[in-house]
Amino acid sequence: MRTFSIEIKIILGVIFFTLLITGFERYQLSENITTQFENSKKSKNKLLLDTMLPILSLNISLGLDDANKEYLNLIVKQNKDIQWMQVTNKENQVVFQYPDNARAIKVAPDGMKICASAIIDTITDESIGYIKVEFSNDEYEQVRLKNKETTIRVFAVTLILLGIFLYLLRREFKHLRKLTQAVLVYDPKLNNFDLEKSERTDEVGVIHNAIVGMVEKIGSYTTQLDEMNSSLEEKIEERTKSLQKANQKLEQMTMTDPLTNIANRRHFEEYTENIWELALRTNTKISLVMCDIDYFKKVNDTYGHIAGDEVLKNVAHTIANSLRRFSDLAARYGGEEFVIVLYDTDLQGAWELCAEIAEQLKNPKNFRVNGIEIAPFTMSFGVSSVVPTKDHSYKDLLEFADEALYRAKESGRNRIITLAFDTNKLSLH
Amino acid sequence: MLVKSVKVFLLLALFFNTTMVSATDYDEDVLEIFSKLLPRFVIMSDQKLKIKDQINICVVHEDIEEGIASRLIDKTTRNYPQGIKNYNIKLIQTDFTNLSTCKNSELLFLFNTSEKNINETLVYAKKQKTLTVSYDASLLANGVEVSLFLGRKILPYINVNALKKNSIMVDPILLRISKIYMQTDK
Repeated sequence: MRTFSIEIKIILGVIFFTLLITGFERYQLSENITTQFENSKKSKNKLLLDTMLPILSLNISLGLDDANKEYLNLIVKQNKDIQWMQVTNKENQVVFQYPDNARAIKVAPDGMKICASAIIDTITDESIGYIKVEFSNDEYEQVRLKNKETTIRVFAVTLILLGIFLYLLRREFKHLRKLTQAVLVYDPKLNNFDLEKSERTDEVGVIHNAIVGMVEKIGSYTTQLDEMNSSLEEKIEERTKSLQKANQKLEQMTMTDPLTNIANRRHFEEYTENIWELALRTNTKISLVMCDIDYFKKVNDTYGHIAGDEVLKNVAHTIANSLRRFSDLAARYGGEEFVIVLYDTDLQGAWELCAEIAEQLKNPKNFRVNGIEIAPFTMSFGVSSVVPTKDHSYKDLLEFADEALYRAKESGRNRIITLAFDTNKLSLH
Repeated sequence: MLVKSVKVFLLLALFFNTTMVSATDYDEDVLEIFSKLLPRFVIMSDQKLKIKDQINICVVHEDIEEGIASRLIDKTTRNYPQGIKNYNIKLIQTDFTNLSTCKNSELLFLFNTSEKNINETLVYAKKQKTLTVSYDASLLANGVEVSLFLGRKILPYINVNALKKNSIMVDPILLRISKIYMQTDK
């Protein structure tokens, strides 16, 4: 549905109602003028006939024909609007006619253009003649013409005034349009509202100043909001960083053994499962080492649990430092038991790593707690190695390494036992 | 002797004609107008207030003009066979020596006569408060109230001063169509 602006509606409304009212008023006035003129003309004509009739009546009844004609001629002379007149006697003979050679008019009397009356003897009440007069319509036409000219002038003046009014109205709306345009393009962040406060005190001025005031408030609030947003963003960033740190810490905590600070069993299992899948795709050999501190209970009993914990820490540290590649992972599997997964490492490589660890454990300087030297201790190692297949999982390899560790313990501890996964062939060192 | 007698007769006749009765030529058309006028003058003046059951018009003349007076009466009767305005018209014919017969008349019509008769008649008319109309317009100078103006056109000729003097009122319409007699017209 098409909609019109208020400006157009007002303009159309004003034009319509102004022309309607002016036209209606003018029409009424015009009708009144013509009606009044017609009535006055009829009255005048009637008055003339009423004046003439008694005299005509008397003249005719007395037979004063010459006096009658002279009287009628005088009437015609004095009334310039008489165009035609005819008087007949009761025998219907023409006793007077003006102009002499004019033809009889057969138009019915209307009281204005044509007037007629019987001439009644005022004494005997007998009809003694008939008079018919045609009056000129010039005055009436002049009145109508003048009325028409006045109507045109009134409409011309109305249109001029209407034009002035519409010009002023459009000028007012121009101000409002400018205001609207400024409001529409206004962006609080750009602060691009370029209108100043108006000095006008009318409604438009009030609206203008209200909008300018509102824009100023919006600008002020926007600045405050921006500042608050900026502060909030900084806080969010700070909090996010803290959260990330906490998450990292939490993740680390979930992956790390709190005592030894190396990977815990859960992380080991996840990592080994992933590395197993990778080795499966790349057809790479994986070696797994399970190791255990020999007679660890004795350490606890001798030096106390704190010392035991320190031993565990040192062992973990030694194992972690022994790893050469990023893909290798050492974890505390439980108690004094550790596990090492070695990607792309065969049994020989794994064995060499275990030997290096065992060698470092023999150095007593590495085992001091609060300045007290801990007596050297040994570890047993179970090693297994395999190129992963779809038929097995890392748990199978873990069982083999555990079996090798078990056999190392059974066979006297402080040794490295390798157990080939595919051949199930033990190798004792 | 016979010649002498004829001369004496002619002298006597001439004497009577010039001093006693001056014979007048009466125009029939004028008489016709008068015949129409007379009843209307009564109706159109306050003389109508005196009317009881008929309009009485007294035609006063010299004996010698009895015939012309009769013709006037005939014309009037012919013009108003049914009377006027529901009034019958009674026309009385009399001479100047017998004015008493006009006692109840509303109008006296005077044919030409001697000035003496005119004055006596006017005194009588004033006494009776009767409207006087004369054939001869010159009698207006004597105090007759109405006559006819015979000029380029014929009009009623009204002596307004006489009307006022005798306290007789006439219809304004009658005045409107009439010529007003002024004393200077004499």
